[in-house]
Amino acid sequence: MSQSEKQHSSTGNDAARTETVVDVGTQRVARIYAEAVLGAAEKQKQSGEILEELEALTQQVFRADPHFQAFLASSAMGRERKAHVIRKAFENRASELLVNFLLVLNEHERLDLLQPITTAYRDLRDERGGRVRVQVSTAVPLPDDQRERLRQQLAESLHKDPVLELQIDPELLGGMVVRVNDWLYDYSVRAQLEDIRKQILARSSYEIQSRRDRFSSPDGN
Amino acid sequence: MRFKADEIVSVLQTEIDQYRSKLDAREVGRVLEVGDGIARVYGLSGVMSGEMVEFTRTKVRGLAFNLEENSVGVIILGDYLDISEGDEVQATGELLRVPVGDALIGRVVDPLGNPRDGKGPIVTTQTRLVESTAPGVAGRQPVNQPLQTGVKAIDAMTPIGRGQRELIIGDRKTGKTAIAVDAIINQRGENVICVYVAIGQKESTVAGVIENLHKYGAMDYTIVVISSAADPAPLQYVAPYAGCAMAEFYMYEQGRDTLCIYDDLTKQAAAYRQLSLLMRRPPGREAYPGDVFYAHSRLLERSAKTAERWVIVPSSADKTKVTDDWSVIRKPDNSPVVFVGPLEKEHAEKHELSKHPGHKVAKVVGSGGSLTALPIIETLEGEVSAYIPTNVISITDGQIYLQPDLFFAGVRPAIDVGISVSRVGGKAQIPAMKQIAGGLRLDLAAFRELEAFAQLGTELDKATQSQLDRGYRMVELLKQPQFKPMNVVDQVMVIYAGTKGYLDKIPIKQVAAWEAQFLRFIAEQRPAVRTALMKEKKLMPWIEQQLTAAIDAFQPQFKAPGAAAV
Repeated sequence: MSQSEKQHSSTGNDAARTETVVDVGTQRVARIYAEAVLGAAEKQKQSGEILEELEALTQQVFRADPHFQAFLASSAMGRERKAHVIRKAFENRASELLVNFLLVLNEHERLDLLQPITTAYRDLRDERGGRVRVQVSTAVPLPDDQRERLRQQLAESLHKDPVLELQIDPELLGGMVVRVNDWLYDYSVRAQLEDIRKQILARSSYEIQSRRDRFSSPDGN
Repeated sequence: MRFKADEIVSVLQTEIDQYRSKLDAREVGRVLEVGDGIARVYGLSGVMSGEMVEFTRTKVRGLAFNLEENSVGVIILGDYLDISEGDEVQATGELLRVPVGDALIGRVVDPLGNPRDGKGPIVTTQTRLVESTAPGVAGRQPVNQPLQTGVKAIDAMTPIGRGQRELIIGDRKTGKTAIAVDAIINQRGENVICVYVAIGQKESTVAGVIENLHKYGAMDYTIVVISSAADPAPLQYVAPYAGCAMAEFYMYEQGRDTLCIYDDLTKQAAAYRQLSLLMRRPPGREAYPGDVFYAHSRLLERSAKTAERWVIVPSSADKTKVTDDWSVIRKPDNSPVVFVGPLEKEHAEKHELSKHPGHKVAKVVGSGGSLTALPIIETLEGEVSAYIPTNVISITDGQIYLQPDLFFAGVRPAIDVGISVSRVGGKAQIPAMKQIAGGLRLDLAAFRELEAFAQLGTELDKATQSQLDRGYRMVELLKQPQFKPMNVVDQVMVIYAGTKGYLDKIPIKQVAAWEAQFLRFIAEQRPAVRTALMKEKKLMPWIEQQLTAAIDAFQPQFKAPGAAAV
């Protein structure tokens, strides 16, 4: 198993979600670049490394220094200046492919799309590799054997290679919540307690109503 | 105490014992942005257009309105102030439905069927889709039965039939709602279920209407659906469809006659415009979205007179339960033969029944119901050529046009006879009314012209003067106070008296008194005329004779108001 499996804190994954881009035009452009860079990376058999580098760049570098993101996105700086900075900052530190890609983006003045390109790259790579990202929330950390069993079961039912993204959410109390794309499978203790509460409320209000109706006149009330 | 605590405890215990845990699988999305009654949601990729969604945390419901490439535009049917960015939204897999049934009669509800009158929960298991398609050509029959509003001017000149759509249009404060409420009050004892949908109005106004409905006993057969001016735009948009669904239940399931009042569609169009602009749908004329016509046409198209269906069943069959399937005649593919409409019924009685001795022709339960719609449109400064008024005028089967000038001149209801029409209702009028009201419309229109001419102060010849006098009295006769709907038979009698010139000698100011005294006279001393007319519904020569005799007998008894009484 070569996929990276990350054990986030409970909010780790939400950050990426809220940065979702809704602008259709931006997403289309991002997908085109993502496809291109993925094609190049696959030729050199580096698609995994490029993803790691892109994610490191957009999540760690940008977060640590938001000015750098602003600098890249800004059109106030000349292209040559930015190219110079990119070379200086990344050459010999990042793979040659990434540096070239950044330079191409710079040439086309699309460096502001780095974030959506990263997302599109990840989704595209998952799609081509038959992988599917599955967010699993549990109240306590899952032991390795259970995690393995979960993965096998998911692989069986989804007919895809699941990439587990584990989260800890003590509020679930127990059980687990599995999310695959837009589908949420909730088997947490919290959800079941809520369900019980609803059923009991409905049942008792029905009982109260029927007792009341028994005493009131048939046409009145 | 009516229930014991331990009883409830045991109920809870069995409930817990019987609880079977189940996997809760749902399709979810996340709120990207929210405001002004709409939310943009990421995810929910499998949601249907018009599907109900639920905001998991606050339990508020919404409606998937716009399906876009990367997001779903949701209109929020409830309090949107508690919803925040990042909230989970789940699909319910159902289209929007409202509760229907007898539990709603006499109640005041919001467009989702939640009680608004503080009279406890509405317990019903039946629901109906808020948006449903109108019946097709085969499922309908022409309007053929009158819906009496009890307003003389309407029943005589712009009659409304069951299943018709008649628009009430006019400026603010011209008595539009008053006509609608009178129409509801007049349905007492007529076996018509009424639905009054108040859209975007002041709560105080609606409270007044409800109070009057209570006062005149109309809430026994009426449902009030409120989405006030304070409610979010999505609820105002949905309200007429919800009210229509509640009425449709009675039309389709029980074959009953219903009356639906949409007060008013101008405000619904404004609410829809707000939603559409917030959803960034392209604005068209007057900034309304392109499909605002469809919003109204699909609503009003749902009013119908559904065709009666007849089947041949054994004589012993229970008439209250007949369905299509009971038909003893079968097509080659074993589907039941149903006779639709009066012509086919006649055919069945004349030709088919003889082949099946011991059988009878029975109506399928739930067929032949009707939904009459009285949409209301408010105009600005009498401008009927604005976008929404022209749209709705073209959709409906006629309009009752109310004029502020007439209203302030004391002609109430302030119906402008010249431009008010009813395109189909004439067929549904009772023959007696048709006989006497035929010329009334033209007479009044001619009178209006003459009246303008007479104001020039020129000398008038005798014929013109008498035409004018007649006109003044007819106008006076058609005046009617609010909450005083009149039986159609009484209407026929007084209009008959007016058109035949019996009022020409009565001073204009005393016409109302004459009318009241005359009706009392008939009720007390000549009830036979009234019952005969009620039975025949036609002005037979012998009835006409009796009626003129009654009027002649009454004339000397008329006491001018103010004159010294005994």
